[in-house]
Amino acid sequence: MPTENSPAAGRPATPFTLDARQETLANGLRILLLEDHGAPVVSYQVHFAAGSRNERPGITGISHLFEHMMFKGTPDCGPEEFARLMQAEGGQVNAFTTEDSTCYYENLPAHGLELAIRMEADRQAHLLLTEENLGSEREVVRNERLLRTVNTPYGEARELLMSLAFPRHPYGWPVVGWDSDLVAMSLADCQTYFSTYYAPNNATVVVAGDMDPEETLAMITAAYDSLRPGPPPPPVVTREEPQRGERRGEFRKRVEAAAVMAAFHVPELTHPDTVPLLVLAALLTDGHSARFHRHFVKSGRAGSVSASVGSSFLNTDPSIFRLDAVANPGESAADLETQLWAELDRLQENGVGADEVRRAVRQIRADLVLQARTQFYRGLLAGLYQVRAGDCHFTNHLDEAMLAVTPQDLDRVARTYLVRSNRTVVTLIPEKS
Amino acid sequence: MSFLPERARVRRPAHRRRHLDNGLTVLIVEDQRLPAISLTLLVPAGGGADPTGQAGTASLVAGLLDKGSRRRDADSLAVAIDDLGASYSARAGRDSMAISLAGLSEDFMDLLALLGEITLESSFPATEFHLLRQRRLHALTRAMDQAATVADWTFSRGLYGEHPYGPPLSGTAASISALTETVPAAWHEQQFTPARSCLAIAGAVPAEQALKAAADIFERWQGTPPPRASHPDPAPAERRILLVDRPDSPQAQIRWGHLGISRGDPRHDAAELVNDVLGGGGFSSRLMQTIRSEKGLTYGIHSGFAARLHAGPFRVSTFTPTASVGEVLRDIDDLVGAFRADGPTATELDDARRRLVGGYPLQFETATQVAGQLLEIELYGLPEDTVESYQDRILAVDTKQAADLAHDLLHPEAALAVVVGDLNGMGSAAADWGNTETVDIGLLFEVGT
Repeated sequence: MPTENSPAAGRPATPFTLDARQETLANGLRILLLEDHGAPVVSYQVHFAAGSRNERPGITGISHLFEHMMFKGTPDCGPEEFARLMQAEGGQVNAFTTEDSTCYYENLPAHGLELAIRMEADRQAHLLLTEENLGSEREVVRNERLLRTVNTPYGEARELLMSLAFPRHPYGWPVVGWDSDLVAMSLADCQTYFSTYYAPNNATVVVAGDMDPEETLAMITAAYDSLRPGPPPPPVVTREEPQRGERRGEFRKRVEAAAVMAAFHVPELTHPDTVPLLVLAALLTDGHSARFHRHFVKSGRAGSVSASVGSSFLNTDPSIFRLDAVANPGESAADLETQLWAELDRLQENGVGADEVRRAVRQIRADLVLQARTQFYRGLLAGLYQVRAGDCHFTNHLDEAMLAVTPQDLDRVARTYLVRSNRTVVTLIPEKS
Repeated sequence: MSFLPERARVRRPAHRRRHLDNGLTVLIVEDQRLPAISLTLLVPAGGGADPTGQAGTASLVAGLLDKGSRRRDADSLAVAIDDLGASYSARAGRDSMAISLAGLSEDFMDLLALLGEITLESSFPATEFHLLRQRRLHALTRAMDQAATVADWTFSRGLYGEHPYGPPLSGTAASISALTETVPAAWHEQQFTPARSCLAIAGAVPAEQALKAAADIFERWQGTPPPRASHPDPAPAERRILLVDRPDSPQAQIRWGHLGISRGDPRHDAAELVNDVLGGGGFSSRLMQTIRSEKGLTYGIHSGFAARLHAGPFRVSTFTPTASVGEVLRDIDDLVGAFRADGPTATELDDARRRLVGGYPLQFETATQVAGQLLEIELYGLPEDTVESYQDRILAVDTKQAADLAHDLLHPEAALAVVVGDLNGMGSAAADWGNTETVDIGLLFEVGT
């Protein structure tokens, strides 16, 4: 007889399950292998358990600046040669830094895997750090900061929001860092950072796609075995105290539309409340039937509204549930904020509906299957959750927990976390010339 | 790359292709790896088919398709889509409109029926028209805060003028305000016809079942395609620069370019290869090497030929601190000029061939990507063997041909440059450009600020 969760009931129990083989070298390097021969493509990824949460005031942004330095060469490989050689194999090469981790990746035709393994191991072992490279890359990163933060309507207000929400914890500063810190950062800072966080025992290698696991393991072992482990990096000990009262900020800028941003403190990703919070965020703003989308956007009451939990792939330490809303041109942030809280009050008083919850869960699960069609995404799921949750199969756990979520769970987390005393609010106020 | 590994050779993608009696082309790419399915209906009419003075019509039609059908209103349709956990999008491009639904393959029949309802039975209610139009007007005002968008739009307008590729796809405040309730339905009636449209079904559904279901739902679609309007390329222009002032902005957005070639031009793929050396090849390109890696003047710089039905733009895009605008503009002129004069070196060309040929399999990783490639062939009427001949065609381009192409297709002497930034802080950055015009942002968007 079909059960509630069986395909016959119109809801597959496991549309996508991640299954990684796990190995660890003697030097502590963790290896995750996801074999799949569907296409002649492989994603090679190296995830370091180092991001902006491992920084301190004065060197904010060093994780991300360092990510750039990793492309500047080794004794065997000139500056930018890494990218040139990998691209000449048909590979897509890039890297990204987050609050909790830094990831380097190559998505490439299967025959390029060996080169990727050798070159990644080479730069992890023998990176050349020079004043000249630091000088030019520092300016590239300052340009990136201008592009993504300063020269956008909302970037600086978002920075203010996080710094108010996290007066103690490193999540309070942006991953790209403060500009003054980028200017002051020295080569010695970079060298210390490299020796502290880029040892093999702080890294996870992921290979997803068209490869033979035994051969791949042998190639990785040959390339990485000589790397010496380092002392465990210092733990991040700083914790935010529970927030006791609303915090507010205002940012004035030459923009056409006002905006309201709110951050509510929520637990770390492994906490059982993470899943109901994720479903709640989706229920509010994902899809055209989502209640905040209908109430604010479709009706024309606001330009946009979105809800989210932490960063993409969540966060290692306690994070935030965020609400971002942009007003219509000419309308005030105060009016929009009043409406936002009224809708949130309504949600907390009346609760959510079972059908809304079912739709949100189904959206999240279908989206996972659609994304998991690429080897790159599967690799990210395994690698990022290995680093952030200590469990490369954590996505399977999220999926299972998603199926068990009830409207009562959502009502409870909404009433627990989305309350005034736990919120930080920043309004963006248009300033005319 | 003298030797292409057998595993890296891209062959003709396995698919089924059938014409329905009404002329609709149906493409099926079956892929049982994951229980997912994506459906795309491609209609060969986009912003390029906006009536004169009514820019933004196609874009508005795309936004209204799911806002009510003959069977139900917008809210019920939204619930029906979200009930399946489906991802829905409808986007108007310059030459086409793509309406997509993706979800779990167990919902295939429901998803296909929904796609049919949205694309064939859309009812364009007046209330939804007014709501969406108001939202679009607000979005247009907010877009003025995005320097990159302002630069893109100024460049298109400057290059194409009143040609359909000139105005923003989403229209201007004046053109959207002038639209009336009946315009979207009329445009839909005229432009949505089966004969040149294409339905792609990619994912975990047996091909035969997919073909039959597609026929069941889309065979009733009737209509004769409108004659294709002819749009002569804009006349060659003199070298000039357009400046848009954004006071206090610490960084300027830069566009530089001129008219390029159409997607159907037989030189298109070779042109992409040549451009890969100049500015398409990421970290390896000349523009990136000099302006980012050596000088640190930008975080990113890219050049490319846009794939369009008519001649699309060739465009260099970048951004730099206000004080460096003059230097970056000079560098772009010098680098493009030198490349036009001499073409790529043998090593550069070999690297680029390896990048494009070696990376080609990555574009076929998922069934949806395969379907996208096949749809492009349909839309632009490309040769049937476009995919399986690609790697050999790229490998066959030699340095002489590459140099000739660089010479024929790059025209610094006719370049249009756009700078969006703090004009006060820029000093004499545009001094080398004789032909200088300052564009009022309000006039560009026709919002009357």
